[in-house]
Amino acid sequence: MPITLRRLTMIKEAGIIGWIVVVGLLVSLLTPAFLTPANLLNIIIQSSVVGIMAIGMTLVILTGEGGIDLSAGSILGISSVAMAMAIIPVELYRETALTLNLPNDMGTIVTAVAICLVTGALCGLVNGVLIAFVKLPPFIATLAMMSAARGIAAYISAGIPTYGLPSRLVWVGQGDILGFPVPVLLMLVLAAVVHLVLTRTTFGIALFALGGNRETARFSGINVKAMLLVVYTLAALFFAIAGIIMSARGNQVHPDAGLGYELYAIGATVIGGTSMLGGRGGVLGAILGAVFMAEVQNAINLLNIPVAYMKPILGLLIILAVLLDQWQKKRSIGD
Amino acid sequence: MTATATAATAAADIISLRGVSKGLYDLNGKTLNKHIRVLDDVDFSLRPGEVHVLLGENGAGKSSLVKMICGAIGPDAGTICIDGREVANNDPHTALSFGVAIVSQEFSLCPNLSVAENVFLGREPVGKAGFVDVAALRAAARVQLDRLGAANINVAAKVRSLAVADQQLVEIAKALSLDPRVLILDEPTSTLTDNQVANLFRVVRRLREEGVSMIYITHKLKEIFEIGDRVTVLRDGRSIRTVAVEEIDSVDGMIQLMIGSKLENLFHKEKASIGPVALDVRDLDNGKGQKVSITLRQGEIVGLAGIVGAGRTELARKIFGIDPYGSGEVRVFGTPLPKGSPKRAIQAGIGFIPEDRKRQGIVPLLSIAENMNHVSMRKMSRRGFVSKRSRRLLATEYVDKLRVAAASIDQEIRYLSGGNQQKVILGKWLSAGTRIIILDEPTRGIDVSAKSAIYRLMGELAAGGAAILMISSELQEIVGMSDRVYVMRNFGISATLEGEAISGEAILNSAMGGDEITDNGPLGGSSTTTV
Repeated sequence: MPITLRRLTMIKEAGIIGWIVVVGLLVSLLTPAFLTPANLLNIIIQSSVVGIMAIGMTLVILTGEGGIDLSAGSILGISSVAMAMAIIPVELYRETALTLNLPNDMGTIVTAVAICLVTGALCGLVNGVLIAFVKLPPFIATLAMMSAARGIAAYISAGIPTYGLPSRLVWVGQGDILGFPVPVLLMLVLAAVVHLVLTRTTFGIALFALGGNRETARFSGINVKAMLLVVYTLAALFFAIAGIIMSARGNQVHPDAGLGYELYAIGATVIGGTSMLGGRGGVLGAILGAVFMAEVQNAINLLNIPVAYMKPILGLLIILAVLLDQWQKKRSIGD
Repeated sequence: MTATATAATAAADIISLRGVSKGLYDLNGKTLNKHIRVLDDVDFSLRPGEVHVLLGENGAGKSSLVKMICGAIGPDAGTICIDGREVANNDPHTALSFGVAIVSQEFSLCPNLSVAENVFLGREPVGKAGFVDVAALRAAARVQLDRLGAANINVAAKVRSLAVADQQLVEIAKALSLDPRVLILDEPTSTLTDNQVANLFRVVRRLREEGVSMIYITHKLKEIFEIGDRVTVLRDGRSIRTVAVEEIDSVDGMIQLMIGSKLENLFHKEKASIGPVALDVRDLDNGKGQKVSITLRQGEIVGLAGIVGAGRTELARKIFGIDPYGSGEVRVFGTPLPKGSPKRAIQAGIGFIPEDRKRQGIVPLLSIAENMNHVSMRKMSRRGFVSKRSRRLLATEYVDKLRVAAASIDQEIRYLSGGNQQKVILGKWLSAGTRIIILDEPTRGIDVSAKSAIYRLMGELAAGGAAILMISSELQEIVGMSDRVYVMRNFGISATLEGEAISGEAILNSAMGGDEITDNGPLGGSSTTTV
């Protein structure tokens, strides 16, 4: 028994799993509404948007030397708007979509999703070029993109949100396959794929190498510039996918969609044990970090705590979670 | 111990440690495990005005011992007396107030501050209205640097912009500016050129005349005879022997004390059959208008000698594709190599082991196995996927082959000694099938027995048909290992030596050329160039 417990604490994600369990136990003591299958599933569905964003954010933060993407929320926004505009005719965009006869054929949906992904990827590519070739600090480059992408999203949509999307698209956010919610499946599949890429491919090995020491990576023949370009583009692709899910779940697209979400994504990534210095971490932790944040939000709702307390509490928990994680890591090295 | 005995030692010693022990400790100096002893019942004393050399391999406890004297770590057992008084709780502030200053191996400089600001950090002269008196600050820093003969260092320059050797001098100037009574120098010469070393020794001798006591840690045995008064040899955390320098009969004897067993010959050079040309550099524009041509054959170890800043590393970086160059051509086994791509150079079979192990050679957070995979992974991968099993097998194979001393291949590389790290880096290239290896200062900061192991490996590799280009500032190493030597000066080749013609003096003459270094003083005679 003590051996297994000790093994458990050696798992990288042990810290965050511990937090999820501790908060869960506490809340279930306070309210019976928490520990029900429906509520737990709800928490995981809630976490899917931030979770998928956190996958992209993890890749970026792993690159080290200040790797970060502040434009994540804006890229989510502009991609969603681009998708909506590919479905809804411009002259009708201002109308409430529910009264329209929206195209619901596969062709239109696939095209719209493709446009969404390409828009996101292009934004990421620009980030990548600015960081890898123009050599702007990631903070600055993505800060500029955060502002620019949000501005363009507002401009092309005239700042108007649209309600009602084709039912086939809404399925991505609200549907299920054999009882499993689509957004959750999507998050899990993406996390699994990226986890495999990080641990089993030359790309993953190279990413940890350049995050841990960029010079060493260069001397090992790793094309650092190309890697940065790919990582920022890939990350933006995940932000766009998160945009599809957010739109589909809410059955609406707003030019302000995902405002401030980059901070949630960074929070989930860090809570999940990825080092802000780069070179250490993983996507499984990031997903768990997102689940933890959704759990806390859920608890605040269930316990009727005024919404105004939510953000301060979340802030406090981020600090506590990271402290615990550091403590756990120290122990596993010290032993 | 009786009170009278304590009083007697107090008169003689400025610092004395009696029976101190220290277990494995963390970054804050807190003991983690009392049973794994970093220092084990060590006695050490420092007399006023002596230069006391600490000898020992990496991990022998030298750095821990001086950390204890500086108050950075406290002993688990034993006593520390400074200036005749027992110090129960030595801490950095107490040690500093006694006048103990240290120049540590790891620099403590702020790269974005100027030289002068670094020397007087926290002690800046303040003028009217509370502003820092920049002129006074720079003048004072100038004085300290001139004491070291470092007239070339601009006190207003940012430390970041200085070469490593100059940064080392700034570090020493910083310690001197405290007017210490006890100065600890931890491997101060490992990055210095021979004439900078000569200058440093002059300063050391002058300080000794002024009555400053010094603890001097070094791996260079010849330095003992130049400036040492007494030597203490540490091994595995124990003080093995303390001896006056006049009483030392042979260097080999000291080495034996350090490693605890008979060391046969430092340089293991197997007879290798020299094969066809592996690397052919033709008229490569190395900057400063110099065109460089060198060749390297299979089975050959070619030394690239010269003073720091002679353009050796620059040349290697161009060959390997890290830096671009104008005209010229590099051929590998007859095939021209495209410029500016390390990836293509690696594919052609070139490997590069850079001089700055920490910053360019290893990824500290990753394991031995992972560090070893960074090049070979491309060959092992199938459509980008690499099997974990084959990665581990390969790592295990090379850990065994290169005799890397580690708990397991999953150990993070930062916990290994310098010598073992270097072996892992070597393994990184060998496991990728590298045939041409460029080694930049391969044994910097590595202890004697690890050095010997690296030399043996180099010899074996050459015998196995590898071509080795070795950049080194250690004459001994160049003379001991090279089949052929190119000497560089001012970014060009100033001499090519072969066979019997390879000697320390010949290399130095071509490396210095007698011109631009005159204002830094003479070469330091033959004393600093003893091979």
